[in-house]
Amino acid sequence: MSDLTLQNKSALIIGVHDKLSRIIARSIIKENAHVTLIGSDKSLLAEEYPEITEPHLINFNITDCKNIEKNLKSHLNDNLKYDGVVFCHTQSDFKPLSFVKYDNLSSIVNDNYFSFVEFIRVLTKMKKINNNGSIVALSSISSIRAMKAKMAFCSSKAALDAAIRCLAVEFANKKIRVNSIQKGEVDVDFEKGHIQDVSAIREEGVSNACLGASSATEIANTVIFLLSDATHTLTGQSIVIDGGYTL
Amino acid sequence: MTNEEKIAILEEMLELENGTLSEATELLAIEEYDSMAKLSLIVTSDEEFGKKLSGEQIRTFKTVGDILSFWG
Amino acid sequence: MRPLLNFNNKNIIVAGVGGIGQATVLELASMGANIIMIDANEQALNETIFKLGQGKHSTHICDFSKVDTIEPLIKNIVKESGAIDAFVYCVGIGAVRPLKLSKYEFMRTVMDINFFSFIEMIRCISLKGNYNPKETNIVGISAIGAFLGNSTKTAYCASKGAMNAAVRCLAKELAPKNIRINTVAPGVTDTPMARASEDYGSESEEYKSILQRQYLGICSPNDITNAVVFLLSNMSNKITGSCLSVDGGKLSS
Repeated sequence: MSDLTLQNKSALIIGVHDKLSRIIARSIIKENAHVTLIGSDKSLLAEEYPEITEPHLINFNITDCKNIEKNLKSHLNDNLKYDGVVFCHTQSDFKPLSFVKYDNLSSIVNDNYFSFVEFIRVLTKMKKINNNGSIVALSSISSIRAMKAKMAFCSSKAALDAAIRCLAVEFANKKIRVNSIQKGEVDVDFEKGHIQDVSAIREEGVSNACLGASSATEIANTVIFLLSDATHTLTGQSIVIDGGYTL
Repeated sequence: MTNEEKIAILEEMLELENGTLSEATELLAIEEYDSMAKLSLIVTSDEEFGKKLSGEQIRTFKTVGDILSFWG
Repeated sequence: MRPLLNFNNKNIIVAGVGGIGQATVLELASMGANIIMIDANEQALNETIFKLGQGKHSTHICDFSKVDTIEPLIKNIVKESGAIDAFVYCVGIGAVRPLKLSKYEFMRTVMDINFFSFIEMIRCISLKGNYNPKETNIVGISAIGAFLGNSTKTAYCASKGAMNAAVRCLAKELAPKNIRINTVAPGVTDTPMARASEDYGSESEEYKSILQRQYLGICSPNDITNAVVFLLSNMSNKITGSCLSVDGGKLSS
């Protein structure tokens, strides 16, 4: 099982502030990978990752697509190259269709999709991703199921998943794999305000997934699995971890 | 904003004819006041009135008047 | 018993009068519908309406890369023609481009035309008074690229993936309004968009490899239109939130 380690591997983790992302980052660090973290909130970065310093702790607005290229060029020195890239950032909310106007819809699609593609475009242009590398994006079962009042979020994740399939083909000549994880209910997500609101409205207490909500660690383990040498020919896939919700 | 104007906003949100609602109308009696409508209420409270409404709070509303008071 | 394929006097918006759009307009008009055509290209609109001859048809110009022009356009259409019975979105740009050239502005434009405008049109059509509350049917033209990985087509495939996901959600959300919504995913179809691709042409290697998987052959626009008509009709009364692939066998092979 030695293929599952991340020893001697370097990983770039984008979007590291919410609880799930923090757990993923910490798990990757625990597997002995050399990590660089990019987050939009300077003080949160310092607070959450006190032992990591520049150039491995980078602060800029990761959803500002027009400036991702400029920011990566100024922060990533020539020596830094990565075996793995993990895109953890996500934005979601609940809005019925009549409220989903262009600004709201494009903001969510921007954060969950445009931002990811632009990061990958620039990183590959700068030759920052090593051959035999692995790119992992965090998606959701919202990508493949109808969710009332979540059309914007669902579409953005579906765009992300379609993109990873295309990029998987486009990067095959460099043997770089591109995959996503379609997560369902995760324990740490229940702490989010908008999810609590919806639970209260729908008076849900019980999970719809027959095996219940996933733990954040399970998601982190799957990210590590995808980054490791155990998955050399696993590409263009969206791995569903949802406790059986979609069955 | 007058109460009439606020009621009109609520009627539009629920896609009801003008004049259907009054302050005393009980929310449980309104067929259109389903979980989607409650989500719309959260968004409307934020976008039109700048007030953050939580799912827990919505459960305390019994009449149209309760919503109007929340909007202030 | 209601006739299954009855579009007599129905107000149907067809957005985009390219290969598939034009075929759809002609077919629905021949079944008695009043067609409201929308396209950015005035010449294409004129050509199409000329082919239609008699009937209560109208044309409107709209640049689908400008999403904010849609709300006033729909208001105008409903004022002129009355409530909408059906809507077909055939607008799209093919957008073949390797990732390294796919900068943010380009990705954004493809999304604006292929997806954001589609959603904005549905948002406006589904407002009270704009649609037929007894029965309104919507079809978006998607692509099998929504499901398959294709090099140099990230922007296009992502926009179609987004469309399919949105349709799943909107089907559930709009069902109480008696609005059904589905997509049709064409395989390679003989249209100006396909012909514009430089690999198209019966002798090319790409063409031969397409036919290996799309073993029933290249689709004609009418093959796609037939699926659209089916989804707009009473024959598909319990079909919603789904994607119908018309792909000559490609997805399953």
